[in-house]
This record gives sequence, C-alpha cells and structure tokens, in this order.
Amino acid sequence: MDNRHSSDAWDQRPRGTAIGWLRPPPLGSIVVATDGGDDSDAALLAGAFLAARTGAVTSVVSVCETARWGLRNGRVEVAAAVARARHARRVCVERQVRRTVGTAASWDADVRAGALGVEVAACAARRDAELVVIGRRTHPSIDRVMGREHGFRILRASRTPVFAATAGIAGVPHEVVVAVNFGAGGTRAARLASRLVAAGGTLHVVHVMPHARRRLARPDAPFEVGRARAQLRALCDELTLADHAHIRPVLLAGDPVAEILAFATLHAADLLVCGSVTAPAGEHDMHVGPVAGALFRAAPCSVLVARQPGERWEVA
Amino acid sequence: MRTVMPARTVAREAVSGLQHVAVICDGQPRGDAAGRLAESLASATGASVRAMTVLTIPDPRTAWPNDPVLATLNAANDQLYRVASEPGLWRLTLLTGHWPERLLTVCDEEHVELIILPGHACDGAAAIARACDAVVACVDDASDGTEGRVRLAAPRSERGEHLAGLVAAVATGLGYGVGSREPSDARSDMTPPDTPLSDRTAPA
Repeated sequence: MDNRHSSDAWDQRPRGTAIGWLRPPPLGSIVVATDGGDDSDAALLAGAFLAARTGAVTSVVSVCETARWGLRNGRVEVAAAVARARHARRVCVERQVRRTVGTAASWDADVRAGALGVEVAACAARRDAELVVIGRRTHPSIDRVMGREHGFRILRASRTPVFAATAGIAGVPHEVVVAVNFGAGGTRAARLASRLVAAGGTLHVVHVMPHARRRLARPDAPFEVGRARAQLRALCDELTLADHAHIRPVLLAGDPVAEILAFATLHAADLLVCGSVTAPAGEHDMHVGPVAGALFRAAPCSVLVARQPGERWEVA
Repeated sequence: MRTVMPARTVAREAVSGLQHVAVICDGQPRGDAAGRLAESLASATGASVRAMTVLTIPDPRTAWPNDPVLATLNAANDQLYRVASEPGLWRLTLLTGHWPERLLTVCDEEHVELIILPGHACDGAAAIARACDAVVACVDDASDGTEGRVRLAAPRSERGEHLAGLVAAVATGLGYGVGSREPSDARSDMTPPDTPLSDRTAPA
C-alpha cells in the first residue's frame, strides 16, 4: 500500500528566486569538533563545504579527555599531565587540518581539556556558533553501554544544532530529508536545512503520522490527514530556498523511524535532518528524543539534529 | 551623520559564501584544469558556474585560413564538454572588445565571488581580484600527485580574505594543492592587463 500523500502539482511549484543578488542568509559561525583521528576527516571536509556554501567563519575545537593527573619520575603531576596531553592533541589536530583543508584556510584551533560534550557545547556557545560539525561512524552496541558514542555525547550536551558527517562526504547535500513533527525543534531544523541545501537540490519535508492503522480507522481520520497536510504545506511555504532548489512535502503513515529511514534510503539522501525534544518534564536537560536518537544512530547518510531548548516530549 | 548605502551595495558587501563562480575557458587543453576546478567547486559547494571565453574579433583585412570566431566558439564548446559533467548547466559568456572591462562588468552584475583562470594566462591576477572585488584562482596542471595547483589572489579586504579562506579550504579538501596568496597591491599589477588573455591566435 502506498502510504504517501503528496501533491505532485504542488511539488512542481517553482521555488527559490531568480533575482541574482538575493542570497540565502549567511551562517555566522561553524565549529568543527575533531579528535585528530581519521574518522574526523569528514567533519573538517564538511565544515569546509558548508562554510563555502554559507559564508560561515569556521573554527576547530578538540577536547582531551585525559586524566587530571599523571606520574613523572615517581611524582604525581596534575597540570603538567594535562598540558602534555593538550600539546600532543594540538600537534595532531594541526596536522589533520593541514592534511584536509590546508593552512591557507586559516582556521583557528582550540584544544581544551575536560568532558567532551560539555566543552564542545561551551565552545560553540562562546563563539555563538550556529552549527557544530562532527564526524560520524557506526558504533558497536557495546560502545553505547560504555558511553563511547562521542557524537551522541556532543549531541546531548549541545544546544547548537549538530551536523554529523559520514566518511566520503563530497559536498553540500543535494537530497535532503527533513523529518518534522511540527514542534519547535523540527521547525528550527527545517529552517537550517533550507540554508544548507545545494543549488538545484531537493528538500523533502516529511511528516510521519504514527499509529496509522488505529488512527485511520477512526471517523475523524480524514480530518487528521487534512490537518497534517495543511501544517506541512504551511511549513514548506515558510521556508526560503535559493538557487532554484526544490521543496517537496511528503506525508507518510507508520512507524516514524522505519518510514523515515526507508524514505531516506529510497531517495539516496545526502542528509537527514530532524529536530529533537530535550527531556520529559522534570528531568535533566541532556536527553535526546527517541526518534532523533534512533535516526542519529541508524541513518544511512549524514545527519543534522537540532534540539530545541525547553521543548520537552510528552510521556504517554 | 549616517551613511545610507543602497541595498545592492549592502548585498554585495555581505559575505554569503561561494554562490557564483566564473571560469575563463580559452579552449586550450592546458586550460582544462581551470574548468575541472570550477566543476569540482560547483559540485561541492552548490555554486553556479559561468564560463567565459575571450572572443577576439579578427581584423577583416587580414587573411585567415578558417573563420577564427567560429573556431574559438567550437574550441570553448569542446572544452566545456571535456571538463563538465553536465555542460548544459553551464552558461557561456563571450567577452568581446576590451576583455578586462567586460569581465569587470559581468562580475559586478553577477556578483561573482571567484574567478578561475588557467595557469598560463593569469598575468595581472591580483589586479583583476582588486578590480572585480573577487578572489582569483590560477590553476596549474598537477605535477606533484595532487589534482592541480591553485594560486590565489584576493582583494585586500576582510571579505576578500574570508572568501580566499573558504576557497582554499574547499580546494584543499578536493585534493588540490593551494599555494600562498599573492599580494594584491603589487605595483606592477596596478591596472588590469591590457593585453589579450593569452597568445590568442585562432585555434586550428
């Protein structure tokens, strides 16, 4: 059964602008988080491509999660151990920057010591960054238990949207799938994605109606579908694209995570975008929504997650 | 007293990344590296590309074995098909007359942020950068295992430096070697070159 409710006529509406000097609003600043390893090369490349697309100022941050003390000649040293680790990391990061984007790019590198997520989030906040770019790789299940999912730790702590780039990224995304639930986080993510999509690219704005069988059996089902379509179109109308990119609203029904992943795979998406709530009411603020978390871990492409501070998910 | 700038000037001054790239296509195989860089940059950053070729109108009193205008157009067209994966998306502009002046006009109208020149025809790159208020990249063929070698010239302004940094980062990420930026205030480069772009005898 085809569970897609999209209007082909509406999809073909010309979007963007033909006025040459009207451009998408630039991003102010991008922070690229790296550990100096090969897995993070994609983050630096993505940072370069996104900066070139948006005109953002890019800087690099790296965090040493080293022990706060060390032994040297049988004596306990505290500050010296941290300084040594930071120096080694700085050398590593500078080498990586030289290798991937070159020294002519003049990117600032900031090496810090402390907790990974907290320090990256603090750096992004201090630089008033609009995007944190990290490398993304698939982790075995044990890493989730051991807390070694570094990208997820940054996502939890950061109020700034996080762009996790997969290895082999070749440019700004052309096929972008934006999963929205009409919350503030999803809307924020959709707005951000509309500024990143490449010229001539397509922005698929997807909403999945969960519990479709149960809902569609109810007498007010047509009303619910109509309302979702209206909300979807209102959101698409609000987004501004440049350079003749296209926007396409898509309404699906079923399990949100499965449907969105299948849609992204089917359309060979370069980027999957979603918003996230922060926490159930009353709990601390380092939660990521269940759908956003599952998409972040399982997406077949790069992922952009925007958390909306203060937006909390409802516990059924 | 506050100075009010026209909206067009404000839009020009605002740095919003690489949106429009211009590349000089002279039709010669040794200039293909410039076209390839434009193609790669456009693909990676989503910028639009405008190919430009200098059309020298021959003296009608001179005897030419073939039609030089047609030969120039054919050579530029062939070059586009050699370097571009989707040449139909490129726009080809003919620069006739005094080409630096025409280039300046096109760059101003299109708000071009980056001009790519073939390595053998980048005399006066710094002057072009300053006159057009755009970064100029001169591309040489690869000789050291990289995709090619890029030399940048940027106007001496915050915007120019920023754009040059963006271009350098993307070019390096795409596998090009990026050399140091040329100073744009060299005395010998005070005016755009008045000579033809290259030794533009009509292609055979």
